Amino acid sequence: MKQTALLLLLALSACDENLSHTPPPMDRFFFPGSLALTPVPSGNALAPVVGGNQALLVVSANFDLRYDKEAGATLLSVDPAAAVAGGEGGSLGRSNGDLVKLGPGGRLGSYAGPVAVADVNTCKSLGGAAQAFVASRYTRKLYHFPIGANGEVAPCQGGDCVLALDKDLLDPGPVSVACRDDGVRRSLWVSYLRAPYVSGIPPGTAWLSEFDLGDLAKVPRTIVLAPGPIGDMAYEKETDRLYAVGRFAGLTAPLFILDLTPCVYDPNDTSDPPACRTANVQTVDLYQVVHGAELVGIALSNPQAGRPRLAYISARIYDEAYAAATMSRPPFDVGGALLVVELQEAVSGEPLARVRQVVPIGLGAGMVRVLPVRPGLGDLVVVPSSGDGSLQVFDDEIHAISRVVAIDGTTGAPEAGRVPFSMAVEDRGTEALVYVASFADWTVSVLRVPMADPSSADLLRDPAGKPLRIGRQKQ
Amino acid sequence: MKHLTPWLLAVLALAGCAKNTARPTAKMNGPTGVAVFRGYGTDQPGTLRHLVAVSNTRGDDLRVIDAVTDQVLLGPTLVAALTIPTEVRPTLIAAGRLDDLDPVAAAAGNTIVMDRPDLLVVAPRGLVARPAQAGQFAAAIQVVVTWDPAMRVDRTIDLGDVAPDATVTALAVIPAVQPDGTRLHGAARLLVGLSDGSLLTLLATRAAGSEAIVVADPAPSTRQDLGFTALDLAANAGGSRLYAATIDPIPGPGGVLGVAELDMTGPPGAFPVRPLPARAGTTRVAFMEVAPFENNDPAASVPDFDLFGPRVPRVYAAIDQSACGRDRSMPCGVAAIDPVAGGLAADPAGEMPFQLPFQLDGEVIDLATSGPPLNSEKPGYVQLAPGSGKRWTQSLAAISSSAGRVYIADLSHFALANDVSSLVGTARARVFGSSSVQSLTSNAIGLWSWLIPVDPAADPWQSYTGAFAIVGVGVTPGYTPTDNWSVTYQGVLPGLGSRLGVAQVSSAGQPPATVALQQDANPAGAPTHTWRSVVRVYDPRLAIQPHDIVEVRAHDIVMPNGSTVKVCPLGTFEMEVTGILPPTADAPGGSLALTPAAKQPKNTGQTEPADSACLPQGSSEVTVTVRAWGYVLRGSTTGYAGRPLEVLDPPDETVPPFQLKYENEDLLSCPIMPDAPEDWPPPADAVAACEADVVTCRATCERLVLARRARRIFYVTNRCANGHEQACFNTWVQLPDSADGKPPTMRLPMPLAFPLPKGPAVAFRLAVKRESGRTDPPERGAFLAFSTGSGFSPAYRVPYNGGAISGAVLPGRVVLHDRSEATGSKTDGIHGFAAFSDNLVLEFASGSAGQNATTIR
Repeated sequence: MKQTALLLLLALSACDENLSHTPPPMDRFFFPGSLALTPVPSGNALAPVVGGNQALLVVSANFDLRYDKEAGATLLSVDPAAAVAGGEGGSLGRSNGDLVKLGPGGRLGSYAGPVAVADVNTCKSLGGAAQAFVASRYTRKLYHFPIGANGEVAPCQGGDCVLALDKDLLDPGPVSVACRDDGVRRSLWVSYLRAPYVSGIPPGTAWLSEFDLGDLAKVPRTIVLAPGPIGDMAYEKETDRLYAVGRFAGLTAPLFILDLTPCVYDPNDTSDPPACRTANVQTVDLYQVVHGAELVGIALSNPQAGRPRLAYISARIYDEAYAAATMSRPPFDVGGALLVVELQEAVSGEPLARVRQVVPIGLGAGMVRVLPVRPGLGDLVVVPSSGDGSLQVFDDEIHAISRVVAIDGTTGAPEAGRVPFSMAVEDRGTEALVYVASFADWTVSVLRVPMADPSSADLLRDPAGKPLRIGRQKQ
Repeated sequence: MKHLTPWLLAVLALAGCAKNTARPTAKMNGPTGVAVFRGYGTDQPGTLRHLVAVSNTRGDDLRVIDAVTDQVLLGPTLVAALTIPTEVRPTLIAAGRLDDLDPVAAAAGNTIVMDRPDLLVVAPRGLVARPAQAGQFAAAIQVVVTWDPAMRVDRTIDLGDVAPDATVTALAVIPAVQPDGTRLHGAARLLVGLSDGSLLTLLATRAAGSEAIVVADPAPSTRQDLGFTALDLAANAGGSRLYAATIDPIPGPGGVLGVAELDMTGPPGAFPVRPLPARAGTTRVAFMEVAPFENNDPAASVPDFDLFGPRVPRVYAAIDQSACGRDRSMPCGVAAIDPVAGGLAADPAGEMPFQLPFQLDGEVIDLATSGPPLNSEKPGYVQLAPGSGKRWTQSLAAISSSAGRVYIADLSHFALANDVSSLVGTARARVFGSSSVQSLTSNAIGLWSWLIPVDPAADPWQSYTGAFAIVGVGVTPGYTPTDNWSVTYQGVLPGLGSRLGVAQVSSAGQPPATVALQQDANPAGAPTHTWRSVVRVYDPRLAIQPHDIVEVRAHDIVMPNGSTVKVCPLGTFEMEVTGILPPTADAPGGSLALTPAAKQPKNTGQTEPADSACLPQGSSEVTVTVRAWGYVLRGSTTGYAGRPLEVLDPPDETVPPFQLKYENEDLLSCPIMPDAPEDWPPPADAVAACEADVVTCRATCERLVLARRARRIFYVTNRCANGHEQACFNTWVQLPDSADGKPPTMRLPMPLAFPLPKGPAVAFRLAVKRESGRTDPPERGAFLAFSTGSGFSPAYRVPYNGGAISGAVLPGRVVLHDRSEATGSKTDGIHGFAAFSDNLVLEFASGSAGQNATTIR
């Protein structure tokens, strides 16, 4: 009996051992946590169809560690164009959920975070091939994948695509490209969701590592901000400022404003102060305006002459009294909000952030995306609520939510998929396409927003009215 | 077994008979809107009741609460709360009466209004699918059945034909009026504000022979293009006037920011519009007939019965957060507008150009108003219960704020209810804590005693430093803020410490002629500049004056080989401001004209004084600190607060003390200080006008800046009379006699006059303690610090759970309901209902303490 039990135990452990090295599937999404679009100048699939000149990059996070921990997440590039009869076209709406991939795709460490792309749109001065950057919280590394001329993503070759991050900091996640058109700045910023006690700095403090996109081999410079690990960032190239929102670190909702210095740092510069000074950091606490707010995502308004620059910040609302009593972030939300924040400089020149409007949204606020500019009009902003599976289109011209894509009246399922969180926006001139990743359904759906009539925004659907998807739905 | 059967049956029967007293909860799901209405419920089908409808934006339904018992109405099965499914995201909800007349009484020439079900409507914010046009979306309004116990949506009114692509931004149900202004009984108007800047009017009438309500179809003829988007709607009691909050300019000469008044006696679709200016746009609006406080009742023994004037109409509007502020022409909060006068209500104290808005934390989400209850222990009065004690007043408001609170406003006393006494006790307006800081070799900054000796020959006027200096500060309840202050000799001006700047040297070997405080976001040597962190030195708010001190530190140059070249080897040098130059393209904030200071500092490690001519010719990046030439007062929240002068020994009481005091800001004109930050720089003609007499111009501008920072923060209406509120009288009006009955030896320099006292936010006579025979000033940086408390803690209501605050985040709409109208009880009074995001509705009574509020989940 004893011998049998032992053999059984050995067999089971052997099975477990096999699972831990199982490579991830490269033909589907699984818990897609992040999206990005990159232009494909040569075009792809057929035109005129949806998404004719874009490659859709999708990060599957391996958040449940069902695959190889060290390399169980994936970055796939797919053609997001609509499928057409005869098996032609792109990935959108294929009946079997197959993906029309661009390149074999790449593997990276598990708990992969958001993806940032340095390409002709985001970093014009960089030149060369576009690159995608993703950090892994499991391996604590930054991965960069060159993107081919046709949008292909290839596997990581050797160790060239893996960059070391700060050894003392944990859970690297949000990344942001910050590039100026004059080439003075070509930076990639990586933040950390968790920080222990480091060099006298208390745990829970926000840290940022800056990479030089012009020389990725250079050791990154890491700077400290203030309490509130960073959840998302947005770069304003007109003023060379980086805005970042901090997650829960007590009863505070910090918005960090970094005045970046117009120089390229040299890690070998030992002078004091260094020739290239670090950023000047200001912190604005938005908590006093919205108690219980935990800031999640940030996006900046389109710059327009005569209009103030705004930041649209999504927030999850928790029970403040519960948090104060337990001295921890409550495990549940009680609401969500979109904050419309005016960014100005005070009379004394210091950056000011003033909450102009608090717009209630659904539970589980996700990332924010601003749609292309409507000259002379306020912006259109899309924000998902992962808690109830809804998408909200906010029209800053009327200062109200003009459209909500919520649940299917027949089935009760969220039409955009369960747990929508991350999005990518494509400018199509008279309309914008918003690609929405459904974390729980393993698919991507597409919201079409007519720029002149945003209230009529709707998901792309098949003739029967069912939303079209990219990818195979989780069974 | 045979013998047990009867016993078993008995046990089972008893179990079946046991009453289950547990009542199902409301199970709110994202409540945002609330509306009070009269209708029928399943549990009491024949009884018309006062009910509260709650719109659940996450549940896409309505829940209904009994407005008297706070019990949720049950559904037909009686095991769950009643759920009325609606369109997605029902955010806006409104209800109103039709005021049907008793036909029998009417036939006899009498006017008796019957109790009948009200109109209740709900609308989603966004567009919804049009039922008749597949694939199309439009705004919609849903009418809810209130005339039948089986509450449900009776009808969905599609607005797609009359207002394509527009969403509903505001909703109201108001009395219908006839062209002569009289009530049209048995009818109500449903007003719908739309995002395309239009207003739709629908007529609701009682169906003949039943209690059903019929809402007319929308027609293009009743759609009015307003030229602005209405964000909120409110009507006066009779329905003859409608008020619309908007942040858009209201059409008219110059475009007016404020509230729009519509004359509802006009034809629907063509209501005349009159703008009511409020100096800024508005986001929420409510109306109330308010009997304003006029004076205290000298015959009253209890200091909470006041004399009120006749009722006057008032419109209360939340000011657009992006258009208001401490340094702007309109402070933030909830403003009072006088629709008769056609603008902001007059200051009851006769001091400011307008009645002070209610100041509160966060963004105003909603506001609701109410007069006294129909039945009251004190007829015509409503009771409030702030922490400072119950008081009677004539009207109140509830204001929900994004800070997670519902504030209680006493409209008749022009202020938020105060949880503490601002006049007596440890929480009153006062000074607490002070300290003087100076080096061992320097003189100490202090204050002359605020109280003045009655007989200086017998009792010399004393000065104090350190912790004792608190006796030298005068404060005024209603003006003095909660703040930490410092009076510093040659102190750094607020916001002007260690700022990046660009100094200009016209030729080599010369000191810089000017410095602009700004940073170039482009690298050195770039052909163009992108200026950021621009300090608007030309703006009077920064209070830079000629003779102010500018400390300049040059930036060293790091060579390619890593070595450092010190531009100014002798360190930081000092300049003196000779003028403030207007903005230019290269100096968008303006620049400071400079001359070398008479004496240069000798920096640490140096044997020679600094050299002001060390910068190279051209532009140099520097770090600059600007200091006042003399004493400067600043508050950590207030900021720059003026430049007091030393009062020499002995002080002369005929010379007024330094005061941070309000003066009518509308009488002060400063052309170079644009109200909106985005209007910088000031226009060229305004600059020219100021430069023509810059001394007078800047002096006036400084007065305006300080006046705004000394604005009142709340109104005090106490009588504070001798023998009536003795402690107050002896604190603010006249000191008490000594213990043995002798008159006091000290007196108040500025006794206050009640009610509505006026005075400085802070006042003092500056003193310097020196060794005998010395006259030199203190060392640079020596300061005196003190703190003040405002005595103002606005009363608010939040939800509780088990004695602890719980769920007090992101409230939505709020309503006030006269419970005594339903019960006839004099003790019931006015109750409020506020939706909170954490799946609860808060119910509170105006005359009951905060902890007694009820949380309905």
